[in-house]
Amino acid sequence: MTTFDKLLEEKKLIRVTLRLPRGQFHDRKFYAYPKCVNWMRNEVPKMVTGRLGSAFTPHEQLIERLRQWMAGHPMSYGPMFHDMDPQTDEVWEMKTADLRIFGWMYRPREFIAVSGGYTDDYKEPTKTKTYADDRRQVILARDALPLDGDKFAKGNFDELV
Amino acid sequence: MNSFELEIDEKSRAGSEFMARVVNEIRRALASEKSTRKITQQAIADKIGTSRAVVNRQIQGLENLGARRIGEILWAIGWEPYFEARKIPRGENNFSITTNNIEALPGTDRKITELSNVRIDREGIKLTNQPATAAR
Repeated sequence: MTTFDKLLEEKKLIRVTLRLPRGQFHDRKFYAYPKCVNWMRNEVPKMVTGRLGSAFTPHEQLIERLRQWMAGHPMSYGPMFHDMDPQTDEVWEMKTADLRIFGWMYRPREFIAVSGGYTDDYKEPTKTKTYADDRRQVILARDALPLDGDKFAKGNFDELV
Repeated sequence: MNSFELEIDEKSRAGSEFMARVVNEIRRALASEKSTRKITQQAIADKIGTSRAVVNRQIQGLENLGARRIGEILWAIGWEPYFEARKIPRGENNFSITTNNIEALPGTDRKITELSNVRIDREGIKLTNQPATAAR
């Protein structure tokens, strides 16, 4: 077993940051598994807008959602608009029009991303994967992480986000 | 600590960030209105003369909103937009230029014959001086 800092040192987890605009400051933290960082860094920028036809490219969507998270801005507006949702087994999903990012809350306001996907890949007629697969992937990754203490935070949306 | 900084070009960042800010403001206004009275996307659509599907796409940020539509949606729920342009403070604007032969590199006699990127940030002007493009 080991500490969270040690996992960062060993590059088993990577802190992901963004340069925030003027007047915005880092409030929430975002960590990711190396494979997920690779996806964000190398695959997302090459993606094209999906069937929803967003005015934002997937890369812009990713940057904007992470900016929103890191700057501590609201991740939901009433019951209608949720940019992040809890799933079963303490798995959380961060979403944009064309992207899905799955992970868990290590601590309140500290998200660990395990995997990401392209929204159209989860939906017919181009469905190649399921949300359940990603949830399972998060649980397996979390279980395998040799981390001291509680591995995830429990609570409702307002307590954790 | 190991960290990785995600990057996006400044033009995309400036455009998408502003669009997102507008969409989030509309969502905030709508959520606030809905908490005090019953208001539906259909009602908004009827009021501004379009379909619910279009309104839904626009407030989800899926469509590039024009200034007129921003005003119309907010008007339909009893709000109004507030917009102000301001100049970015000196030294906080990042932009790229391409030019030839800029006298550069303070403290040296080296000149840059090909500049791929000049960045101005809080620390001042930074010149990209790759060995391949620098010449004595």
